[in-house]
Formats: sequence, structure tokens, C-alpha cells
Amino acid sequence: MRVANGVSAADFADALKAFEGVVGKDWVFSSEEDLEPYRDAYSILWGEPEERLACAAVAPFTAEEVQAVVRIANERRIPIYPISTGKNLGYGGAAPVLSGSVVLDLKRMNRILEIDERNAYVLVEPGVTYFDLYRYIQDRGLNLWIDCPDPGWGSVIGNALDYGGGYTHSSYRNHFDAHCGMEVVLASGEVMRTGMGALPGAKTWQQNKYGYGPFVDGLFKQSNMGVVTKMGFWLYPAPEAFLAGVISVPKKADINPLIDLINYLENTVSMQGMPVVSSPFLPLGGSLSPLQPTGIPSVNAPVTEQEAYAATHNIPYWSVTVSYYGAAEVVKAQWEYTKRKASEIPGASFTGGDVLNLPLSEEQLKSLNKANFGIPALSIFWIGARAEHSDPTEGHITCSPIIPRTGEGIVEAYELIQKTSKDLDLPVTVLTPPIGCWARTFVILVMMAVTHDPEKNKRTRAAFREMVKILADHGYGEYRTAPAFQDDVMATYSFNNHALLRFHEAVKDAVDPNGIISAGRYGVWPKHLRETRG
Amino acid sequence: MNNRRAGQAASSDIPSAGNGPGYWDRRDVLRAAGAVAAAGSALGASVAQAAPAFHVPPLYKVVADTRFADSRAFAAEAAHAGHRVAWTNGDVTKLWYDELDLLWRGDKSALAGLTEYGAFFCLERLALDRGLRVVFKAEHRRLASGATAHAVAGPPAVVTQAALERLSGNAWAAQAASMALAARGAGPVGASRQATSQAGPGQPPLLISWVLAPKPERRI
Repeated sequence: MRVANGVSAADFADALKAFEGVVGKDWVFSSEEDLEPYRDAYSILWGEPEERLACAAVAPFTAEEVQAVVRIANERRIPIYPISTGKNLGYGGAAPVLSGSVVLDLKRMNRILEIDERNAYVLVEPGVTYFDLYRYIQDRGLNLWIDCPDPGWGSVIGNALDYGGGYTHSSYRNHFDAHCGMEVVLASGEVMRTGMGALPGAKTWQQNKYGYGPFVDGLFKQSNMGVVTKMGFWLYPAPEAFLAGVISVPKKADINPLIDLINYLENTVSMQGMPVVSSPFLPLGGSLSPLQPTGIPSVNAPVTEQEAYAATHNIPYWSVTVSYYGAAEVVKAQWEYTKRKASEIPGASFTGGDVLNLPLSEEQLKSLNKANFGIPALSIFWIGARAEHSDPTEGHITCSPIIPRTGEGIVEAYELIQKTSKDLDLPVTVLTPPIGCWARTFVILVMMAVTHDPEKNKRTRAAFREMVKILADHGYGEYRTAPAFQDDVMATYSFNNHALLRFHEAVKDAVDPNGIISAGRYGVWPKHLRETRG
Repeated sequence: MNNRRAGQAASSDIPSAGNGPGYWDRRDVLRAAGAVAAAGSALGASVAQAAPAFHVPPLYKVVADTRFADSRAFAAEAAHAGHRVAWTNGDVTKLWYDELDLLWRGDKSALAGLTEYGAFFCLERLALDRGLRVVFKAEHRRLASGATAHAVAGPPAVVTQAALERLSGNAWAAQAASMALAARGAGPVGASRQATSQAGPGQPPLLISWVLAPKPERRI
């Protein structure tokens, strides 16, 4: 067990004893075996001296216990690292950014405090998982949907705070945007409520996000300014029907009007489901593409050759799956409208378009992605394990640039990623199609294998860092990253001599002057660790 | 994304409502003890003698994957020893949601299986959250040569030279089941050994046999 630099053994032992006094001996962990779950299973630093390791964990049961633990840590300047359920795999898991931190494990705080069917909201604690919330709604027969990511075992609050996304209606897929109101324990131990929650006895805490005065909730996204102990979310009133269809176009350049149309449909809420772009010609294959045939011309082949191949084999160059939620007659009309608009692209063709009345039967769900229907699952791990081209046992890291929602943006980004991956010899195992969880932009996930071979991991880290820089030089920023690269990514958001980071640091110094909460998370370090980055 | 096939766990025998928090049915204990004795007969006398030094938690089920002959052989060996089987095709969502999430809120029964890595990883992480730990883990890796390399970690009383020699035979999956069933009552992981056998037809690149068992004290 290694305590953080600057923390004396005596202070640490004293803190553990004090933590036990708050939460009970059973909920303070410091043995090697007990701390194993707090290692990042996907760590790109696995087994190396730089691996980020906790020196203890404490698991409070209530917000009041969180306050007491934070006060104890603040008094002794013990670094703490709050986690919800620690399932942030690929982006750090349950491990702290600063080795020697005490993980503040909020799993036991798993209460669903309020749910309102009429106004479609819920107030939860950090330990509530998507499975928990789904079960709660099902058990009570409420006419509500959740929006969940793949996989569904994570925390509703944790995923929102890390800017995760889901798969249903566009109003709910951005999980941070779908929140409404927070309760936060600050480094002093004081508790604060945001939005309407600042009004004692407010009747609209989960219905109005902004309340009065500056909107501060964003300070707690991907941050270390406090410990979120409650959070409200808007839920999706269960729709009556679902319709998915596929628009296909024959030419490479057709992607430009096609994406423009998708944007128009989404921004006018004429299409609510997540658009899924695919092409058999996407660089590096796009192993998730259902259209991937064998014997296809190389991605470097001339466009004319690719288009001729597509025409000869009767496959499209591009396809976009579009989907709709609502009343059967409405989604049918929206699909017809989509087809009419897309028919303006020469050669456009259409498949699908069957209406599925909701809820679906278990038999129907066998062939569908449950997350599209707000049903949590673990099947993503099954898909990963099926991949013959990689050994999935030691996880992955993901380079995840945000790219423009234009056809040109997609083509340029994939060409750059393909070239950079080859130049840097990156161990890319999966390159996803553009992900449309978040409105107005796409995110591409470039997943790379993690091993338990330090030399391989070292090479991957160096190449990953280089890729982050190259992407940033072309105007693409990461939306999220693993702790090993959080400083690197933050360094790319450098406009005007890192004015944004300096603002973050000023806020950090003001609200957490001893720098005890999640030091280094997302590249924001407290004053005493700023020079050394931990 | 819409056409992704969702897996389906086929297990249907859900625990009765009578199995409340912390409740260990006497029949489960006896059955578990019987399993250790049965495994002991396959492993040699050393396991049967060593096992009583540790508490033997009841085994809820054995998880098996219908797609793989080795997994089916593992399940058959466990069923022969009197254990129930949770059949999956790789996706453990239904097993978790319908059974384990409810079971492990109170009753920390053990779980064993022979699955692909993804299923094991899910169940391992979920089990760790509920106060269980890995007490036996064997990686069965298909090599380019056509052989299967077994890397086994478990209690010293189970991971013996004699047990490893049996793992080198054609019926390695049944032997892995015997070792797994014995491991849950044989103490913490303390030995690691390797063996090699021939790979069977259709064997995937990596299979894992494993046991998740409760820690002696309460955890999250």
C-alpha cells in the first residue's frame, strides 16, 4: 500500500480510523485483496510503477456520511477519489488518477429517492445502476423508459458525469444534458444543491435545470470540484412504436447530402433515434459494419474502383440507419417524409420501415439491440469476446475524437485516422462507425488493445499521445480519455495559452483549496501538485 | 446496431423465495460437501483431506456455454455431481438480471463455470461488487500448434501435480470441473501451474474455467 506523496503514515492511519468511526469497520478497505476491485482492469499502465493505485477505500451509506468522510480527509489533506460504481472501463474504471488516493466508493448509496411518472423524472443516488433503475420502473409498471449505454451495469450518475451517451430518443441520449439538478458535497464538507434545489422546499428541483443565477452544474462534469451525492434525470415517457429504416446511396460523394439530410431530420426532431452510418469502404474495415463483405477493394483503391465494385456487387457505398419513436401513424409518416427527402439524392434506395409496436416481446428483442429500447444489457462483452482478431482479456483504450456532422468531416476524419494509425503502428482492434449519441457532432471510437506486456503498452502509450496531438492539430478534440492521457488531452484544449485550464484551476483552488478531491482528474490538478502533475 | 444479435441465457430454475439473505439451506451444504468429496475422488486423496479445513459455501449454479463442447463437458461433470447448470450462449445479461442480481443481494452462494472470457469478466466484476472473489481460475488457450495451454491458479490443495496431469488428457474440461468444484471449499488462491493438452474441434481461442466464492466477511 502506497500513500500519496506528502501524506504521513500517521495521518493516513489516523484518517482510516476516523473513517471507520463514520462508516463502520466493515466499509473501510485497505488489504491488498480488498483493493483489487479498485484497480483499473483495462489499465495501460498495468503492473508498472506508474499504475494508478488506491491505498484504501471507504464506502459511505448516506450523504451525511460522505460529508463526514470528506471533512476528515480535508482536515488531514488526504486525497480522495469518488467513484459511483467504478465501471468506467476504458476510461479508468475504479482507479484514482493520483496513486495513493483513498477511493470514496459510493456503491452503497443506491437509493432511488423519487420518481414521477407524470413529469417523467427521477432523483437517484450515485450507486444506482441502469439495471437498478430499469428494474425499479418495471416492478412498478411505470410507463417510463431509461436511456442506457453499452454495457448497462454502470451508474446513472457516473455515466452522466463522465459525459456518456445512450441509444434512444435524441432528447435523452446525452446523459449529462438529460440531468436536472444536483446535490454536491464540497471539499469543506458543506452540501450544496444546484438549480431549483437551492430553494428550500422547492417543488420543481427535477423540472427546471437552471433556477436563478449562474448555472454551475457543468463544473461537475468530468471534474473534481465536489462529490455528487444526488442527481435528477429526465426520463422518456414510453413511446408506442418504433420504426427503423436504412437509406443507402451509391457514390462516395453522396455522403455529403445524406448527412445534411440526417442533420435536418434530427434538428427538426423529424427523426429521434440515433443515426448509424456505415460503409464497407470505411478505413480499417469497421468491424461492426454489417455490410462488410470479403474481397472488397482496398480503402486506398481509387474511388472509381470502389464505386464500380459497389455497383457490380449491388452494395451501397454508404448506408445510414435511421429510426423513429412515437405513435405508429407518426413514425410511419416520418419515414415516408425521410424517403421523400432522401430521394433527392440520385440512386438512393430504402429498406426496412416496419413498425414495431412497443413494448417488444422477449422473442423480438433477441434480434435487436436492447439499448435502443432503454433496456440495459451486458451483451457488448459477448460481442467483444467473439472478435477473433484480438485477445480481449486485457482490455482496451480508446481514442475518441469529436468530429463534425458533415459528410466531408466523416471522410476527412477517417482518412486521417487511417493514415495516423498506420504511420504510428497503433494496435487498433476496432474502429467504429461515427457514433451519433450526442447532437450536432459525431464521435469516432478508435479502440486499441491493452496488454500486460509493459514494453508493448509503452509503445502504445507513446503512439496514442502522438495521435492525440495529430488529431488536435487537425481540429479534432477527444471527448473523454483514460487517466494515463488526461493531461495530454487537456493540453490540446490550449486556446489563448490554456485559458480554459487556468480557469478550471482557479475554480479548483477556490472550492478545494487543499486539493483533496480527485486530484488530476481530466487534467485539473490542485495547486500543490500542479507542477509535478502528481 | 439495430441488427445486433442479443444473447440469451437459458437458465430457468430461479432460486425459491425462501432463500433469504444469508440463508444457507442444509441440503445445499450437504450437496456442496458431497461435491467436494466427488471431486476429491478425481483429484486424489489430498484434496478430500485438505478441504475440511475451510468452510464450503453452497454452489448456486454452474455456468456453461451451449456453443462449446468443452463447456458442455464441464457442465456435464458438474451436473453429475448434483449441481444445477445455467446455460448461456455467451451473453450473461439474463442470468445477471433474473437471478444473480437478486441472489447476491443477500445469499452469497458460489458460482462456477467454463465460458469465454467476456462472460467470465462480467460475472467476476459483478461478483467482486457483491463480496465474492475468484478462488479458482484456469485459462485454456488454443495454440497455433493445435494444443491447448492450461494456466491454472487456485488453492494449493486443488492445483496439484496429479490434478495437472489429468488436465493434460483428452477430458480436460471434465477435470477442470472437478478442480473447480473442489476449489470453492479449499481456501484462497495460492498455487499456479501449467499443463498442455490437445485442442478439440471448434474450441475458441480462449476459454476460462472459474469459481467465484464469498469472502469470509461482508463486503459491498
